[in-house]
Formats: sequence, C-alpha cells, structure tokens
Amino acid sequence: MSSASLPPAPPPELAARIRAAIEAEPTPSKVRMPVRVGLGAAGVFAILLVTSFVFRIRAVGDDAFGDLLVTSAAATLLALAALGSAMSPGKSGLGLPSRALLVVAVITPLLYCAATVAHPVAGVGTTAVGDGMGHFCSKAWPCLAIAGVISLASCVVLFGALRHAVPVAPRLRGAAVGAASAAWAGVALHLHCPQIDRAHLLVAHAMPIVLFALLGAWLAPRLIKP
Amino acid sequence: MADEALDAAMDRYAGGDDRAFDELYREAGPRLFRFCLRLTARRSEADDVFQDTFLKIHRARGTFVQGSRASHWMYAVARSVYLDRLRHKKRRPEELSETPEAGATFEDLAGSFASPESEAQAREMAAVVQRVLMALPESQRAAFVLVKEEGMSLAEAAAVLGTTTTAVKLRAFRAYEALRSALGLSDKSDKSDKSEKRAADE
Repeated sequence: MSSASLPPAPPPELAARIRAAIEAEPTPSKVRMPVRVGLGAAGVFAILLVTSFVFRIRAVGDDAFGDLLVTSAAATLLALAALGSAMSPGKSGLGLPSRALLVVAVITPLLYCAATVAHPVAGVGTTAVGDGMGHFCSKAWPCLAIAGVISLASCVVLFGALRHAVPVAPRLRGAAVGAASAAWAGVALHLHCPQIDRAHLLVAHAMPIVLFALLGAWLAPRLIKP
Repeated sequence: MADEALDAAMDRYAGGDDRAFDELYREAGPRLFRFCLRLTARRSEADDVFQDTFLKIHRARGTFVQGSRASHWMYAVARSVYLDRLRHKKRRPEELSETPEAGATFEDLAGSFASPESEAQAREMAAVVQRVLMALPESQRAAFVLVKEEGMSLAEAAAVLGTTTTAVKLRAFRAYEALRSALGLSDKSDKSDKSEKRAADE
C-alpha cells in the first residue's frame, strides 16, 4: 500500500521551469525569522512608548500608585505572554500548536476583562460616567480610538514580521496576533484612562481585544501566506 | 540521513546561499512531487502545485527557522499552495476546471515490477487508492498521506496541518477505513470478474 519506497522523480522539464521562475524572482528577504520576530516585538514596544507620551499616563494618588504599578505590570505580562505565544516559531518552526494558539486568542481577552473589571484603579481624573447613552459614548470613544490606533499599528508591525511565513493554522495564528496587539493597547489604556465604571471598562477597554482577535483571524490567511 | 542533508541544504539556502538550491531540489524534489501528486486530482495540477511550492519556498526562505525540519516546513508550504488553489477554484471555477486524467497520477506512483501481471495489479491497486483518496475531504487525504505514506508521527503531521494530534488520528483513520472498504469491494468485484471469465471459458 505504501508507495514511500517508490518516490517518482519530478520531470526534468519541470526543474528547468522552476529554475527559470526563481531566477526571474527578485531576491527575497534574507532576514531570518528570529530577527524578524525581534524587530516586530521592538516595534510594538516603540508604539507603546510613543503612545504613552502622546496620550499621557494618568495621575493617581499616592495610595493608588502601588495598585496602578501592580495592575500595569500584570497587564504587561499578559500582553508579553500573548505576543510571545503568537509569534513563537515553536519546536517545529511552524508556530505553536493550534490548541495553544486558540488558548491565547480566547484567554487573553478573558483574563484582561476579568482583571480590569475585578480590580479597577481609580485615578485623579475619575468621573462618574453618568446616565444616558450620549454620556457613555463621550467617555468611551477616546478609549476606543486609542485602542484602535495602538492595536492597528501593532497588528501591522506583527503581520509584517510574519509576512511570507508558513500559514499553518493561519486563522488561529491571526487571532492570537490580533489579541496580542490589542492586549498592548489594553496596557496603554490602563495607564491612560482613569475611569472605573465597569460598563466603560468592558466596552472601551476589553471589547477591542475581542474585536482585534476576530480581525486578526480574518486578515491572517490573506496576509501571512508564503 | 536524507533528512539531515535536506535540513543542512535548507539552512544554507535560508541563510542566502543560492548554490544550495540544487541540493535542496535533489533532496526534496521527489518527496514533494509525490505529495503534490497525492493532493491533486490530475498530473498537470500536481506539476503546477509543485512548481508554485518551490517558488514559495524561495520567497519564504527567510522565514525558515534554523534547526527545524525542512521537510515538514516544505510539506506545509505545499499544502498551503494547494489550499490556495482550491479557494481560487471555488471563486473562479472556469479558470481551473477539473478534467479528470484517468491514470495520470497513479501511474507516476507505481514503480517497475518483475512481471506484467504484478505491474497490472499494482496499477489497479494504485488506481483504487488514488480514486478513494481523491473522493475524501482534503483534510483526511492530507492526514493520511503524511502519516501513512510519508511516515510522520501524529504530532509531526499535526504541526504541518495546523491541527491537533487527535484530529490527525481521526482523519487518517477515516481515510484508512475508506481505503480498506474500497479495496475490499474491489477484491470482491475482481473475484466475481474472474469467476465470470472462468464460467465463460468453461
């Protein structure tokens, strides 16, 4: 049954065609994968640094400073873990196993949601969100805009690093990359936004992570194929 | 041994050594070609997938991770090329229409045999295998080919296919069962053909 002992040779004319096609191709990038992943991660850190300067870190009282430090460190660790898993070449060089990528894509928004809602840190500018959709939206849109800008920029950098990489489980890989990108936006929002209203935190801080995980799953098969 | 030579050649090629291509093609060509023949329904399509695969390997060589298995990476590239063609076919069926070339692919998989009878039998069996494989969903076919024909472990095949070992096991098993039942049916039909011939001779 097994034909493993009888590998058919590809026809010689095919070899000539392949050589001609390769010679006609422009020289591909020779930057190796670890370097590309490193550059991608550095790009995301740079985006976070720049946006932290632009959007300003919020002021908190002395009593809440320790809280802000600990929760920011936790959010950063979560984003780092998501980034590392999404970009990891794994043992096989084909990325982490699909189940691990699925866990990253699902767990990242869930953990962020749970942490941010369970332990909000009030800042100096904390105001009541108030009643009414108009008031809610006026508080939410700046956070959504910040999340969108940082997540999109991070997605571009990370998908750029994975460009031409082998698309094994591209949807799951894309979802993990999207979740990791938005998790960095979550860190920036946590540092910037003084609101502690749960609805605001869920809609304006946590929802972008879910949305970008879905966007990543949709984009990845189109962007990272070889 | 062949895997080590292939890994070494791929490492050199990924590092920018264009001269390593000949060795890479020599080591990987036959295996990839066989894989392409198994994935596709017809010989001309297998040729196209094989050519595209090498072109993508060339383009994506920077993304190959040094020290990992080159053959697994190449199978993943070949499957990605094939899946892209399938998607393209769904969108524009008129451009890549299926015209079955009976006997075109399995003849390539049959080798040389001691007698014409054994060759005929092997061809017949190869034809059944190819027919059954082509009737299976792509995911089952790829799992079966990687595990049963290319000799990969379930974990290795799962990494190449981007799924879990359980899914690979199930897919390969379903394909195996389909083949077994098809070969059993063909045995029965073969026996009934022979008994009919015998009856006619008598």
